[in-house]
Amino acid sequence: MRSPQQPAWLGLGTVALQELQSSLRDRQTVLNAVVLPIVLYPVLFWLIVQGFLVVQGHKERTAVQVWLAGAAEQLAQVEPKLVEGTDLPTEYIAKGPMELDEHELRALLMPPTGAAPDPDRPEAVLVLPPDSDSDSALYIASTRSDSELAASRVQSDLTDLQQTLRQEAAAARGLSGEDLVPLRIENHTVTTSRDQGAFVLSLFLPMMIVFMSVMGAFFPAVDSTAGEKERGTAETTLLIPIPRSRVLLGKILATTTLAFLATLLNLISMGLAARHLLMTLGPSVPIDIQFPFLALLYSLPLILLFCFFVSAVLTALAGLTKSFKEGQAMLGPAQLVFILPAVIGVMPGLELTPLTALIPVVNVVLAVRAILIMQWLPLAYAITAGVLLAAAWIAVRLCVRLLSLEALAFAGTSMSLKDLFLRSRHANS
Amino acid sequence: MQTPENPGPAIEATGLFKTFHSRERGVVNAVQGLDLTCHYGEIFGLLGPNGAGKTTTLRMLAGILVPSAGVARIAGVDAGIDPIAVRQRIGFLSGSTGLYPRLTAVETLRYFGKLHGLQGAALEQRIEELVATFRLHEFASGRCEGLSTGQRQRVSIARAVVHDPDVLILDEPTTGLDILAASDMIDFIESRRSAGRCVLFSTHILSEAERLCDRIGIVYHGRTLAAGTLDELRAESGAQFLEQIFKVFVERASLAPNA
Repeated sequence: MRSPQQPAWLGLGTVALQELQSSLRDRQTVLNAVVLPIVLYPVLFWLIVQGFLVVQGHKERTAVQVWLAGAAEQLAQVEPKLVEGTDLPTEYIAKGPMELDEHELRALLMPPTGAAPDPDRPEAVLVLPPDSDSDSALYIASTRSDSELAASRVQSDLTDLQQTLRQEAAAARGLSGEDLVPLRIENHTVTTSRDQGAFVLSLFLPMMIVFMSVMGAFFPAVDSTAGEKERGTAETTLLIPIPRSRVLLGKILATTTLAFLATLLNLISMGLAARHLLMTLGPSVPIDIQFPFLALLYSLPLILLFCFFVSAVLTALAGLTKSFKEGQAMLGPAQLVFILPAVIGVMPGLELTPLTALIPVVNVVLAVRAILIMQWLPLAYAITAGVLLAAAWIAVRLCVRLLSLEALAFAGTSMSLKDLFLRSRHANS
Repeated sequence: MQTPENPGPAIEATGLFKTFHSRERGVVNAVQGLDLTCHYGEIFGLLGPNGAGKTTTLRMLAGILVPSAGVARIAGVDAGIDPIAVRQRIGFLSGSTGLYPRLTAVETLRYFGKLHGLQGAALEQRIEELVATFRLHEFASGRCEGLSTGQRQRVSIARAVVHDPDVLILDEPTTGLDILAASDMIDFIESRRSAGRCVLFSTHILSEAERLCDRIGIVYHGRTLAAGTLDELRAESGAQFLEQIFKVFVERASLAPNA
């Protein structure tokens, strides 16, 4: 019955397909690799933006009361203009001259804890200057959101009032208001709304690639190593009549496939969610988000290499543990190794150069960002690919080296990093 | 009865040693110079108490542990040098070789069949044979996680012999099985001997060894204390029943100066 030796790739492919099939039958893996990327994260993104819009709308509808203090003639001049100028529910009430010390102002603006809302209590007090050499003073309670809101509205209304007063003064001298502004600047952008859309996507999609690769690889990596020990199938896998290195590579390839799938699904889903959001915001937002098919297509090799790198690292680390719980505890902090550089990668001012392309994780974020805004940087892209390939190769070697240790291959065994380096190495073939 | 391509013994272990380094237990010499030889068409029983080194020995013979010293040959292949060739030649079953819970019985057989180089119609035909032989029809398409202990054991045996190996190594194969499942296992072991294959199995159920084994090896503290047919062991120990024979050899080993 013994059959001739099969080609190396056949055994590798058989193991990888079995691992993939097994992972896709695990509810937790499917949830993390398929359902969450497609549904949850875009929905969360959509909810956050919608929530922001709701809060913004609520702020615009919130009524605030501002007391005006000053001489009667000043108030007579300023109050009608402020009332006329404001287009939000801000009520300006002229109170005449007020001599309030700090304690009285605090008592006025900060209600006692637990006190019922008092419609006659102001959110801000604006004290007009006694003479033209002094400044106005605006008193608010900066721990009250409605008081902060009142402050921003007063600032805005005062800016408009200053402009009106300048124009009136100029008109009294026979000048136009325009003459008072010696240099006027009007901004014009040469980027199209579609370019703007690509730029918006480039701010968050590259970071999502890192997040989703790590998220997508997390459960399959733990499941295929620590999970295998927990299920009592580690020894069964050791009986597979192909080299241990090929079995481990098969596991890494299956994890890579799921990480890549999760990343791709999430990018598509997030891109569509962003486009839908901007469409709902209407023409007031001069941004046109097109789904970046071409950019993503160009990014695919880099994303795939990155997923391979992440999968090898997470599989190696999870293999040091003996149960699913331990594996999750090990990979939790390990995720930060990828996520922190990804956050650094989206910092403003950081761009893909041959030098930054040498930093793993940061380079993939910067490269995808550059591809999204269609920058042509062949050398930097090539370096990024080379660095990711080298990092993935080292990670695979490390994974095979570690998980071929007899002490780690069997069920019920885990090993500290210290032990790993102190112990004599008996690698299984 | 011998397999023509391998004229020598099916299993040959000479001076096998295995040392483990454990953080909790320090250096553990699990196997210390164990010798044994098994032939085709023979059932060899490895007897010993818990911790005697039976499982470690079987794992070295199966090519999943590398011996610290000594030689283990399966069908003439050195397990320390070419463990993959050894794994291709043996069927191994133990309490630790669980089934992949998310695969069905048939998928399990197909997976291991492919890894042993079977393909296409030959593979499917072999799966059909195994399903019939081990009466897997009723649960062949159900995931292994849903099977009973007895059903799992039947699938495990089928998995171990999917490539029809010349050598079968079984670590306490009837432990945890009910009477019917244990009886099926014993019938299966006998059937392999009838087919001219070599079966090496460990057990601490003496009646099982007495009934099945052509030869028996008594292992204690990682060493072979005695090996031979039941009659040879009776003669050497002066005891009649296997339980008494076992005690005699263990007591002798305990009293020996280097024990």
